[in-house]
Amino acid sequence: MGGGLVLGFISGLTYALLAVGIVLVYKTNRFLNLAHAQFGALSALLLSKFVLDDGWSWWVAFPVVIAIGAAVGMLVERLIIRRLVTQQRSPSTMLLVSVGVSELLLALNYVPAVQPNVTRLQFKGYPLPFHSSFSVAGIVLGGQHILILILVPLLVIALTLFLWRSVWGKAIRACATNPDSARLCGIPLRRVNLTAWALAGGLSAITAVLQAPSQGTYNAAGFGPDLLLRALGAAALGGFTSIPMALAGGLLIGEAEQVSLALSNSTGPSELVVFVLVALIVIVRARAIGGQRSGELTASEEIRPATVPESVRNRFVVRRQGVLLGVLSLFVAVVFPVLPYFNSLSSRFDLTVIVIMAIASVGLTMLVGWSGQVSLGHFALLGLGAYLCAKLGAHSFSLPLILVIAAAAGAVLMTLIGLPAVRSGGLAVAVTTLGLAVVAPTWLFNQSWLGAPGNAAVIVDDVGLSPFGILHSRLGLYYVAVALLVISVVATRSLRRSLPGQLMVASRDNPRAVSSFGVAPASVRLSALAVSGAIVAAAGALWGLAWQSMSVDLVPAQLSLVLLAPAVIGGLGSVPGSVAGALAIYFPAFFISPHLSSIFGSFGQQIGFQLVLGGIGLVVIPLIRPGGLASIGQSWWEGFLGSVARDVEGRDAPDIMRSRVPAPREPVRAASTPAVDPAAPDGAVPLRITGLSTRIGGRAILHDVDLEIGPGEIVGLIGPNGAGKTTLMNVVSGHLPATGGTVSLFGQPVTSLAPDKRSRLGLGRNFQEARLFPGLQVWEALRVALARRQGSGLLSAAVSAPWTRMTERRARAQAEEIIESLGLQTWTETLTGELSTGTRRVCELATQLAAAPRMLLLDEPTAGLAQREAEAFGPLLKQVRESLQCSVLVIEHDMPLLMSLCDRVYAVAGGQVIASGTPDEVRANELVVATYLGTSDVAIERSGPIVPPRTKSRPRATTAAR
Amino acid sequence: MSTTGSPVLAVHDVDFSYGRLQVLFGVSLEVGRGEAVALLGTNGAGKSTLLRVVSGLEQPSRGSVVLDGRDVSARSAEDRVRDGLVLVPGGKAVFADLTVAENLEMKAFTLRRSSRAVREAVQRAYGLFPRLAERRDQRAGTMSGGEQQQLALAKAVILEPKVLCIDELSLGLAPTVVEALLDSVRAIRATGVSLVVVEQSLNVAAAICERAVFMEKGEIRFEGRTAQLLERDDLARAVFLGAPPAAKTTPRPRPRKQAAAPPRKPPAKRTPAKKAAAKKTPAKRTPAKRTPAKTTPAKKAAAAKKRG
Repeated sequence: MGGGLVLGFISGLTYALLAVGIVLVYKTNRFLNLAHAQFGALSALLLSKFVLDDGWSWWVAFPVVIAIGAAVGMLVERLIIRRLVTQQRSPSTMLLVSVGVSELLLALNYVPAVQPNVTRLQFKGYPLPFHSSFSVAGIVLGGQHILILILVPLLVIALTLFLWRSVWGKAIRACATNPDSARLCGIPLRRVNLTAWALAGGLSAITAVLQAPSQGTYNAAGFGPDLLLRALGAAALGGFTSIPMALAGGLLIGEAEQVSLALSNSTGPSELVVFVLVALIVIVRARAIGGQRSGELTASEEIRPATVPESVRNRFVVRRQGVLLGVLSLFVAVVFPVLPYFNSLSSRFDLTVIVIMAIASVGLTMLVGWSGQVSLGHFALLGLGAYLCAKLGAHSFSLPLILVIAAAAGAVLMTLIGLPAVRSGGLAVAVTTLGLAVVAPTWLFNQSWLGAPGNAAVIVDDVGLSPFGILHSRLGLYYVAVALLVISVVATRSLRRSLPGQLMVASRDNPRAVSSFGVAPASVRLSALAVSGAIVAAAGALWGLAWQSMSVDLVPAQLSLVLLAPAVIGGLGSVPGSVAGALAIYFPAFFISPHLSSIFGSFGQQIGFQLVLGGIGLVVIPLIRPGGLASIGQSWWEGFLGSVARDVEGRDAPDIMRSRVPAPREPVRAASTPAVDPAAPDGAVPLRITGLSTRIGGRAILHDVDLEIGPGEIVGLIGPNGAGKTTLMNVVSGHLPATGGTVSLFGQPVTSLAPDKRSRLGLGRNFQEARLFPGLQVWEALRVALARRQGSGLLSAAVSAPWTRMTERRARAQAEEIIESLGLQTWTETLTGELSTGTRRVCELATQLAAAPRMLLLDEPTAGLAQREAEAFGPLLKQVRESLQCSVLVIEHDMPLLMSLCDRVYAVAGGQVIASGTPDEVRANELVVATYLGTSDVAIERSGPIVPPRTKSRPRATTAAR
Repeated sequence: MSTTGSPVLAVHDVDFSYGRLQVLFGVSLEVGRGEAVALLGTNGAGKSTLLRVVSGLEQPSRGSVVLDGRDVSARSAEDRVRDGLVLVPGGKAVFADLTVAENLEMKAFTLRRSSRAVREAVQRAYGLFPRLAERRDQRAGTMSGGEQQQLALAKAVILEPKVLCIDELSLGLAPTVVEALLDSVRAIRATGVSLVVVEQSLNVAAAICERAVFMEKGEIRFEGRTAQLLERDDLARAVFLGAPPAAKTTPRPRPRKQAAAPPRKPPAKRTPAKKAAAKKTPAKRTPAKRTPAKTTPAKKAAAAKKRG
């Protein structure tokens, strides 16, 4: 026990050091560098080579390999990271790239030139600067332990001082918060980032050198997922940004691990303890992690819908392009295993595994691409399916039943893994799924109720497939796998075309907006995890059948990282792309690498080949072609159709000029179903706020606010910047908690309800930044807004049930009706991320028409619009209100617009209501004039008519609306 | 103030594209010593992009930027700060995670070799904005919008540039705050610095600048004195608020006779260039692709939000 504590402290220090490096890179470039541990692996290897083979002194070799580690960090920054940062890639993309980098760095360790003489290493052990030892609490501490005890605290202190005291340290932090601003202060951004990466590389090298002796013989793969999980868990304690907290996290995890190890004497339970602890950290620190806003893909990474020239749009090949592609691929898939060379037993096994990997990457691409959650543990799901198949097959379950049970188990497991992380989004899911990857082979598959204790192998018997008897044939299994692939492709495609899939993209892009449409983003994230888990676990059952026996050696955590490559290479989010990506990686790995092994040695072997191929794919695809194979295929197809169209028309297709701001057709119409919820009592006050107070981080933002809005009223909310207007809206919509007072909607108290619940009561709102859902087309955004009234279930959408298809058709018709009434037809299938600010504002209004709230909150609906556009917006707002028959609370800085719009106005300042009444009354109120309007005409007349200086005193508000 | 001698800042015939989308078409601009110029125009007109090109954050595909007689086109944004060309970016310009004092120290980064120079520069900033001195240990991200804008403007007195460019001075700020900022800008102007201010509001622009340049769709459409614009109600309305539908086909007002305005090429000369550019990739220019220029401010804001 005491010994465990001492060992825990020491290993905790090394985890902490790794975590500090991860924090440093996170602060600099805002992404989780999963390759961090691998930066130093090469250094550790080289140190042993220098000391043992070349006879260098340890003290000479140590600084040299630190420099090498720093150089590796700088090279990665210079060659890869800098380019991605310049292209403003999302944190999840960067995280995926770092997986690729770690694979390539791992592959580097197999180059013979850097490897020390193995027998010498085994005989002498990993080199140390001194060999003194002493014993504490029954544990003998050797040189490596003493080194850790001395070096790590010193390093952490030095780093902290550097970041907080030195100019360059502050520059690193400045560049981390605001790179453009830093450059505009003359801070050389590139040099600063290079410095940070060099530091991280050096730190990683030191960690590796300190860690290596504990592993006995040096093993580069030892710096794999299990170490990474501990480092990420430690970093998560500090929300990935705090160095002292990362230190504490490392110590906590180290102690937990070693103490449980000392108590149980086996690694399985201690891995479980580490996993549970990391999951707890993620839950407790959800807000700190979630505050970092991750997991968003930017619109540029979304594969935009293909542009098809008008003249060929109605051709059979174009209309049925998806089906034709599917039939063609299916034909190839069916014919392949009977072709010569591929018809041998082993080739058919390989082909089956390739198809299973394609299914897995379909499951991954929807998770990573649509919902923006990176899973690092999907290989464990394959294992789960395989072990389940072995267990159930022994009880003579038939294959279809096994597949269904495996799918259900996969869905449940993924949901459980997702639960701790789901509140904080993308980053946290990466951490908990990595935990799954680690804990599955070390603990889960060792349990007798699922697998076999003591890493023993389990036989997977052939199982029955109802009309065909027992499935003995390898070819039969291959066709079953192809069938499952077809099913999963069709199911995911129909998901994406209906509400559940669109909600996944929407919750990735803008979770707050999703919740304002009455759907909880967390449940959408969980649904994506569950669907993905179900697909992969079902594939796992077939995987087990293909192998015929299962052992934990077949499901190492490392492979979960490799599994990400096909999804990225295919183009994230594209289902056909992910199948193509799987083929692009596994086909060469199985059918080409055997022929190359004589040339490349260990490199040519399957795993090494996968590692190199996957690594290159993960790094290169995001750099040169973010859309992957899918976008390459699409642009080829577009080019082909374009040339066909040119032949047809005999000239270029006309380049249609579109007007910049849509012209609404009158009258504006809301969705045709009645907007009023019959359950709500009539005549209840739409919104009543009493004694509302809110604090953010100890600062009182609102105190004792009373506000009431009557049925059909338009009420303005004015006040200086920082008065608490937006905060008030956030509290009303439930996106911020109230610390005192009550909010009630239509007579119902909602103070403690989640945003989506409030939306269901008829509350709607927009957001100041009007981001909408960059990855969704305009009609899809409206479809999401219709979610509350035209729902589609996950399962029925996946099997594309008739009633779902009907709902979807009806919803699309409604969406198009609204789109047309606002004059947005031109943009129906444009990604909202590609709209201009003005058009996006109109589109956001359209989503409100679709959601049809009875109480609408508008936060600066004209922010970012130029004067002319803002003027056109006023009448539009009025029309929308007319057609919705709702009450409105609106924040506006544009005084003339606001005054012409509102029945009543509340003025807030310093978090309190200082005046209320008709626009003219509030305008005349001296307190308001003093705090808000000021006395300067220049400032008030932001969008008013241009008043010649001589006639400044004439009344303004009345002339504002043209 | 009149423009005397050679211009302190000259932009010659700049073209700029975000990817395949051209945003600036042959833009030329001259700023005299001590002069204050307002860049006006609708969203997506290219005002902020022009400032980004001038400051070196973006590289133009054609044209040059000349600062005080010296071509700085090839110099990086960091180097241009040393040359005396400073941009106060729009939106969140401060380092939210750093304290006010640290922010100021970072703004004085180019002076870091002399700790005395840094100290004096920071004192100048506190002198102009006493509010910042009160909050020196507060994290910048927790301050109000107006205070953050003060912190951003402090760069002007710390670096004492030759040319100060301010992007979106009044964006999202309440009128009283804007008014207070205008006083500060006037004080900064009094030090003799030349100003280029991007504004959406003519009134705010007119309060600090004597000359206005109006941009539309990446081209300069109109230049004139702000006083004149204010006097001619109809002209200003046509330019800034959009002409009534019937009058849309009438030629745009181009008062070229003003003595104060420096000579400039007639816009007609640029239109063919734009058409030629548009012809380059006819098939690939989908309507959706036309718009990203206008989405950039929003994207920038989103990016700033992510970082902040």
